[in-house]
Formats: sequence, structure tokens, C-alpha cells
Amino acid sequence: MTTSPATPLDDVLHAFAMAKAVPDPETLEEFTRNYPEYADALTDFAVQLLLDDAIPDEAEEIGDSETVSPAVSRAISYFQNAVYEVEKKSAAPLHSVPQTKNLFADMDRARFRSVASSLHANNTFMIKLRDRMIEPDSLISRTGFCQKVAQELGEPIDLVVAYFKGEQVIARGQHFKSDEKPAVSRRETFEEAVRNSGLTPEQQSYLLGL
Amino acid sequence: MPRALNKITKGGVGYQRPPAITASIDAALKEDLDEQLRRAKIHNPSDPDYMPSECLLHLVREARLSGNKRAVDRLLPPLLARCEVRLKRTIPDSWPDAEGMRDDVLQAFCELIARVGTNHDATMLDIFECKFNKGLATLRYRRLRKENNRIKLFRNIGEEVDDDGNPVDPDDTLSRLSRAAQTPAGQEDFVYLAEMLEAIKELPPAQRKAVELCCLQGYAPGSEDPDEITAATICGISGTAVRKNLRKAAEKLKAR
Repeated sequence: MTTSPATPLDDVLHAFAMAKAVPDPETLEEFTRNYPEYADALTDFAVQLLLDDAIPDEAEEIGDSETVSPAVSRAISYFQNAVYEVEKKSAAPLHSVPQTKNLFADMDRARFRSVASSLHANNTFMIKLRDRMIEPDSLISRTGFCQKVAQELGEPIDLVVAYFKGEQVIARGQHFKSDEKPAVSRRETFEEAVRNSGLTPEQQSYLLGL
Repeated sequence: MPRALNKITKGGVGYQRPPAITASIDAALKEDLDEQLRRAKIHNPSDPDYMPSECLLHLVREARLSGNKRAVDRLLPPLLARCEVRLKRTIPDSWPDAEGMRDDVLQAFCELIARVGTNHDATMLDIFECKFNKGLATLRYRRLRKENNRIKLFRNIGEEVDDDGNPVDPDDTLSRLSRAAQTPAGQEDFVYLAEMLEAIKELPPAQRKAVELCCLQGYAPGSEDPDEITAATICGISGTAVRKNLRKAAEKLKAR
């Protein structure tokens, strides 16, 4: 764990919640030392976790499992609206993906290999990055990796993240030997992509550690 | 094997589900939707067919990722019902606008699920697949922070008197416990609370229940208002009996 003022509060709270089954004073002290800007929030949250642990689930409180309570009904309604909203918002950037700068478009073969080498990766992994074959969530949550890619490409990290978030595309200009029309396949998570790209154990360890 | 979680710590270590959760997900993924739904509706953790909430959430996420709307529509209500039960215990009806607060937390949870399968970040759900109640506690905490003065939500135990007019907590033992359970808190409150919660576990069930309800959740022991939800109405006993339990608990906790 390192000190970082840029770490979002939610990430710090999650890390604290995951650190111990029940928070103890030593863990609280360690976190408040590493994240002094969140000391008050961490202390309050620690109390909440203690109380949460002291209030066990009680099975007998459940009512008829066939009926939906008004609160759940309201939540489902909210969920449906939220799905509509996020899918509507998602549609716009996806349609504009072709306008997002293709970070790999201007690379010649030598540059492509050079970047792969700098990332401690190989061509297979780079192609997965280029063709957006890796789930965006699993990539953009790896801020260290995104920063490294941005550094090696000489591009702002926002642009790198925007590129990774783009819609998966089938590379044009490639020849496909198939009786069926080529289609996009299920994306791998970042970890799966690292594991399944023929990288050496050292390369895998480096990339997963970023 | 279930899909790997995406969230990583600052040290580069990925979130890992407990082995029992992974095994439960493996088993559930082999079941058809009807069987998953049947198990999702079982709320008793001691039932051998009980499905952990971490596992149920995973199924909902997978259904969202694969675009299986039917599975989402069927599995989401029992998942939300479990959240509601948990929130009713941690945001009790004795608090002002408790229902509104619970609704807000449920909505925050729904918003995260809605993000799954879109370009929006849904990795905050990863903690729910490892420790569901802790994930819910985080959302609840963020909501309570908005209140910024939880002390208003608690009844002052120090003001409680028995039928003879004597204070039930003359040495301020329970009052201090109640104050420590309220936010904003200091680190000394946390240390004190951690010690006291261990001691509370040793109390007889009736006394423990009275302390939990009145000192940790903020319920009044009893009330003249028959419509008010109090520790007495929850336990099905009189307010006098709850105050007696509090007095006995205070004596034992003071003596430790």
C-alpha cells in the first residue's frame, strides 16, 4: 500500500473493509497513517464496520418470499430507469469510437514491437490491446498499466482510457478463412489476456503488478 | 471457474473471492434458472441449499453481461429483498427518514448493477462478490455521511429512568457505548467500541438484545406512543422489561 492523495475514498474504504474480517485498531492506524486525508472518514467507517459485524443476519425476519415489498419494487423501477440511462449514455460514445484517435494507427512494425518490448509484453498481447479484445473495465481499473501505456505511447492517459473503452472492432484489411461472417468474440479480462498471450512468467508478473 | 474480478488494490493484487464463494458460484453456474431462483429465495443461511448473496450477485452480473434479461428480471428481486432485510437491521425504523435512507442505498446498489455490461465502471461491485455485507456497509456509510450528524438519530440512554424514576445507567456505561456507536467518531471511540462489543457478546441474550437495539441501533427502550417502533415492540416485551435488561447489562459491563 502506498500513499496517494489521488486515491478515491471508495477505493480506500474498500481496501480497509477487505483488510480484516473485523477491523482492529492496528489496521485503522495503518490506514489513517497512509491516507491522512481520509483519517476521519476511515475512523467513522471503522465504527460502522464494527457495528455491522455486531448485527448478524437473522433468517426469521424474512417474510413471504413470493411477494415483492414496496421498497424492492421501487428499487427495481429505479434499476430499469438506470439501465435505460446508462445504455443511452453508452450508445453515444460507442457510435463515436471511429472518431477517437487510434493510438496504434500510425505505428509501423518496428515501433509496434518497440512499445511491446517497453511494456514487457509481446505482439500477441499488443494486438489484443489494439483490437480492444480486453474488457474495458478490467483495463481501466489498472491505473498503473494505463499510465505505463500512456507513457510509452506518449499520449495523455485520458486518450488511452478512451481508446480502451471503445467498441471492439474487426480489423479491416485482414483476410478471414471462414464460411461464416467474422464476428467479435467475447472479450477477455486483463488477467486472462495476460495469462493467454504466451507471455513469460516474468512478463506476466510485471504486467499484473502494474 | 467464475469470471475473475477486475478490481485491484494499490499493491497490484487482485480481489479474490473466498474459496467457499468460488465453489458456490461454480455449483450455481451449472444449475438452470429455476433452480437458481429457488435457492435465491432461501433466506436462512443454515439451510443446505442457501445461496450466499455474493454468489447471487455474481449470477445477476453474469446475466447482465450476457444480455440475459429474463435471468436479471427473475434473480434481481430476491437479491434486493436480501439487501432490504440487511438495511432494515442497520438503518432501523427508529431513525428519521429511515425508509428514505434505505431507498437511497438500494438505488445506489441498483445503479452499480445497471452499469454492468456497459462502458461505465462497475468494478465497485467486486467487493460485494467477496464480502457482500461489507459492500453494502460501504454504500450505507456513504449515505450516512450525508447526514453528517448521526447523533441526532440516537435516543440519549442517560435520560432513561425506570418505573421508580431511577436512572437505568447511573455510571454512564451505556451512554458512553451509545456515543461511541455514533458518528463522527474518534479513534479512541473505535478502540473502546471494539472492546465493548466483545464484552456484549458475553451478556445473556435478553440483555444483549436490549443493548444492541438501544445503544447500537438507536431505538428507544419503550414509548407512550403505541405506533412508535421501540426495543420493546421489537422484542415483544414491555418498556419496563427492556429498561431492567439495560440496567443489568450496564452493571455487568461496568464491572468488567
